Formats: sequence, C-alpha cells, structure tokens
Amino acid sequence: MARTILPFGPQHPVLPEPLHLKLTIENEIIIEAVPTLGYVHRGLETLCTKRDFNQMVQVVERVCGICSCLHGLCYCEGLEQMMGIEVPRRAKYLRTIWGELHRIHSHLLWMGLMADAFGFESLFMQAWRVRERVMDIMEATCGNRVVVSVNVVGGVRRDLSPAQCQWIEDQLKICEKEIKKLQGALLNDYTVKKRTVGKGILTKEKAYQLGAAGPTLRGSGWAQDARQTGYAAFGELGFEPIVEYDGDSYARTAVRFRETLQSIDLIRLAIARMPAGETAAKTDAADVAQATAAAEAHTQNWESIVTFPPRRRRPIWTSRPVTCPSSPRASPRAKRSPAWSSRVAKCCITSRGTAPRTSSGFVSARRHSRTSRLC
Amino acid sequence: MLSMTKNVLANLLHKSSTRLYPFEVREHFEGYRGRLDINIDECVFCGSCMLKCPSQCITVDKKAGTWECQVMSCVFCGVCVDICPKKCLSMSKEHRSVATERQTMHYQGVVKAKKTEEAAS
Repeated sequence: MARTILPFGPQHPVLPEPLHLKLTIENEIIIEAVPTLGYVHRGLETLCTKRDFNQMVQVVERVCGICSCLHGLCYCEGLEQMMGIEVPRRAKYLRTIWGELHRIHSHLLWMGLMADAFGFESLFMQAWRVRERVMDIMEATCGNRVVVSVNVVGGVRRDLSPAQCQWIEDQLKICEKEIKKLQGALLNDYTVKKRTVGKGILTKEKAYQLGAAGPTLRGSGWAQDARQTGYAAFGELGFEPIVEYDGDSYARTAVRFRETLQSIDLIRLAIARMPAGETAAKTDAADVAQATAAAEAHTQNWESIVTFPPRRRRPIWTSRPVTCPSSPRASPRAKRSPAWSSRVAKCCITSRGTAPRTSSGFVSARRHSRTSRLC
Repeated sequence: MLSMTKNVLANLLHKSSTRLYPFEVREHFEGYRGRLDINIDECVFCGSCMLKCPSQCITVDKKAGTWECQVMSCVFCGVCVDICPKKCLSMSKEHRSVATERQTMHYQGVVKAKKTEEAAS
C-alpha cells in the first residue's frame, strides 16, 4: 500500500495541549511522525522583563503546572548566582525535597498517561492514585497541590518540622510499595511490551543531534542529568543518573520508573542530612540595592539581545554572533568588573543556543519572529 | 501475563479510593492557601500588599481608607500575607464558593490619624 500522510492536530480531542503531527502511515503502521511545536506562546518571556524580579517567581512557576517548583527553583537560582546571594544550606535541602516530590508526581503522571495512550486505563488510574498521595504531601507542606510557590530569591518561604518530615517519610514508604506493585504491569507485561519495545526509537546519535534532554536523553544511552550540575543540594547528596540504552518507548518508561524510586531515596537522604538553620538569606539594604542594580543591568542587556529587527527573515540559530552592548543603566558592579558583562554575554549565548533545532524548527522560528515583531 | 491480577483483587477488597464528591468533601490540610481574608480594623493602608502582589489584584487607597481585591485575578500565592507589617491579612483553608459573576472584595476601614497630628491636637 502506498504511503499516506495524515495530519494530526493541532486541535484534537485526545490532545491535552496543541501539537501538530504529520504522520506517515503505511499499512496502518505509523512509520514517521514529524511534530510541529510552538502553538502555545504566552509571551511570558516579555512579561518577565516588565516587572520586579521578585514578582516574577510566581509567573515563572506557571510556565508548566506539572513542574512548577523546579521552574521557580531554576529562576531563583539563576538570580541568586547573578546577584551573588548565598542561600542557607537548609533552604537548599528543602528545595531538593520539594523538587524531587515534583519529579515523582510528574513521572507518575507521565507513566499514567503512557498507559492510557496504549489503552491500559486501569494502570493509568493506579498510577494516578499513587500520585494523589504525593499531591497530598505537597498540599500539607507547601499550601497547594500543584503551584506550590515555595521558592523566593534567597531561599524558601516554608519550613518543615520534624513531625512533618516523619509524616513525609511514612507517606513515601506507602508510595514506594504501591509503585513497586505497578512494576509488573508497566515493565514486564506482555501486552505492554508489545506496544512499547522497539517503538519510536531515538538512537544515541540522533538524541544528541536533536538536543534531547531529561529522561528522553537518558533513555537513549546518555548518562547526563541536569542534577549533576549540583543545583540545590544535589551536589552534596550525590547520585548516579539512571540510563537505559535501547532508546525506545520502553526504555524511556523504564528510566522514568526507576527515577521515581530514586527520587524517593533522594528525599529520604535529604531529610536525614538536612541541617538546622535559616530558610532564607538575610540581606541588608545595601546588598539589595547592589543586587538589584546588577539584575537590572542584566535585564537591559537581555532586552537588547532578544529584540530582533522587524523584517528579519533569518532563522534564529544562524544569526550573527551575540554581542552585549553596554547598558546605559549599567550597575557600578558591572563597571567595576569586565568579567561580569562577559558572564552575562556567555549566559545569553547559551540561552540562544537552545533555540529549536528539530525538524519543525523552521516553523517555530517563523512563529517566533512574528511574535517578537508584535512585542 | 495477568500482572495486574494482584492489584485488581486488592482493589476489590479495599474501600473505594474516590469520594462521592458533593456528599463527601475532603478537608484541606492546615496551611492550605484557600482564600484571602483581611482584618480591616488592624490595617494601616501602607500599600505593601499592593506593591508586592504578583498579579496586581490588590488596590489600597490610603486617603479613602479602602482595601480592594479582585478575587478573580488573585493567584493565592500568599505573598501579601507574608509581607503585611501588621499581620492583618490571613489565608484560610476553605475555598471561596463558586461565583456566577465577577467578585471584588471591598473593605472600608478607618484611616488612623498621623502621630504628629495627634500630638499637636
């Protein structure tokens, strides 16, 4: 039978978010799927340049509801490093605990949806039942189920009492037991393996070329984890990235399953090693003024880089080398140390380097330039 | 094969994991950010909450002595509660009930006279 190309999405009843897939079908078997991304552009990047950086923590958390704590953490750590704020060790451990709780519930959600995608609704409900317990931990310790809003620049807003730590450990013990019960169905079941083993293979080289990250990358045989950079307290806890080598759907599921159990162990370790002390860095007025000036200078530089000329047709990633013109409102600190501006430039180039490089990149680039013109 | 049998049998014997919602409502945990309340008598209308609010839903008028909150814009982050110098803002764990129209929390308080004026009089 001849190959048929079937458009799927961007609006489709089964899709939780807009995504367009160009499916090439031969004898009812999908042999190629080309995704087109970039249908959800909310303009959060522009919004983040408009107001006080402290207010933006709540905005950044809403980039994605499933991993809200980690988005906030990333933003706060970035600002802290720019401003040179030393975060108390206890705050780092608390961030680790909440970040790992988010990882557990995100992976359980993914595994549930994976089961739902191949028609195993019972397994989907089992996974989400375990997830509900993790959400309860979040609600009891942070004050909300999804958007926990615990991170602030300089530390965290809430603390954990010894009783709460004990309760978290008890709850995680039940979670671990329940998750292990799902192993037989998710990883060893004949029908599940039939649908996942050897499907959607992303080879090691291809994963590198496409810039895959997270469990997708580790499912293709790369032992790389962003936690290895040692953010929050991960540098002190120490762990081995979980790797699977097959690069298929089954490998990616297995990575997530094993990471869920690893995260439970990391939380236990973090609770055991958590030192006493402050939960947020204390700064005096002079520190705040200097740090704010440094951040403002960075914002100015950033604006000069991300605003493109209106009729630019070149794709984003082939643009000219990035330069950081000196800002009219550059901080005294920036004037003092040329290393600062070079650091900013380096940071910007790294951000630029993550521009979409997928097969759908051209579409995203066009969309992006259009939106930036509107801005 | 039959890898779910154990789970299925356990589910049959255990009680249901879900609730019949309107008849059985789950209590929220302590410290849950459900709704924002203000004790307007304590408020000094300093406007800190208005400045720090990420969603800019709070409006404080120092001269008129009013405190307003656009409930539909509030994201229940609790920043205003942390920042309030008089601790007159608080969060309770009950949700605000579903509304059929846009609501605004409007409070009229008494503006306290300045200390210098009090001393002069």
